[in-house]
Amino acid sequence: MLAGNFGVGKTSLFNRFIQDVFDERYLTTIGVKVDSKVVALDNGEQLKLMIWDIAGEVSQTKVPQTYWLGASGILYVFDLTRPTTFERIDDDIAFLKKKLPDCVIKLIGNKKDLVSSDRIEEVKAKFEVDAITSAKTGEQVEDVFLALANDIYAQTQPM
Amino acid sequence: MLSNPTQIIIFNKAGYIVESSDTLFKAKEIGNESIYQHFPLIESIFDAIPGKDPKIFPRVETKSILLPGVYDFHIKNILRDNIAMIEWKIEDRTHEYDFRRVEQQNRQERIIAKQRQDIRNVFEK
Repeated sequence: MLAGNFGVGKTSLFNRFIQDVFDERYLTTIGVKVDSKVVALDNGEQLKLMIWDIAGEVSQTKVPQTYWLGASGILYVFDLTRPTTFERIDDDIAFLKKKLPDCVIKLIGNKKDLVSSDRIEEVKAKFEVDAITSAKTGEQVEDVFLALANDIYAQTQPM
Repeated sequence: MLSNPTQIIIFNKAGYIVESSDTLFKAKEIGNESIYQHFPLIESIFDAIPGKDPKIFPRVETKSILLPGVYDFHIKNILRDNIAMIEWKIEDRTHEYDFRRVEQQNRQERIIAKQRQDIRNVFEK
């Protein structure tokens, strides 16, 4: 599931990963779109990811509760160019961890192509970011979904 | 007040339609395929719907040409001849949600533009 504030690039990441396309225009998502993609895990097995691209909300508490049903992994996306989109990261991640304790959550800073390396270092110093992506160039997009898939798979295996 | 056009579909765990009111699209258009191929959202929630109360998934946009608008999905576990099935009610709210989409797009674009301007102002000071 792709979660986070509006305008951070969730749909662009979704489209880049599923169809390998990018659109410069910002088109708001009103509810939810779902698509799937089969990925090869590190252990050679295949996993079908069902990916939910949901409408961005300033606070994740406003997301319709049914959208979270059955979620196994979340990419929480923020926009590296807009500090307002990372103001609520701690609260939102705490909310998601409480709501979905068994869910794998990864923190993603998107729009790398629009910021300096200094800016990225500042953000990394402040938050435990799992990946810095660019939906526009495709940088790290495939990798972050694969990492999520591997972590979800590992979590479902008996100890 | 007129209610929204609504279709009811009953399907089994494999995603095959058992019954359909065919209000929004004809079940035969799916042929012998599973509905999961057309509606991944449905596949991903089959095992996640708890109890017998209907769960509502608002504002669903599908990639299928069979449902090209924006819909509320009402999904409920049922038993048909002692076999677990799902009752899927599709409420077409495209008109209302398209209106809301335009409002939301304009509002969010204004907010993002203001946030970007605020950042520029800080750097220009």
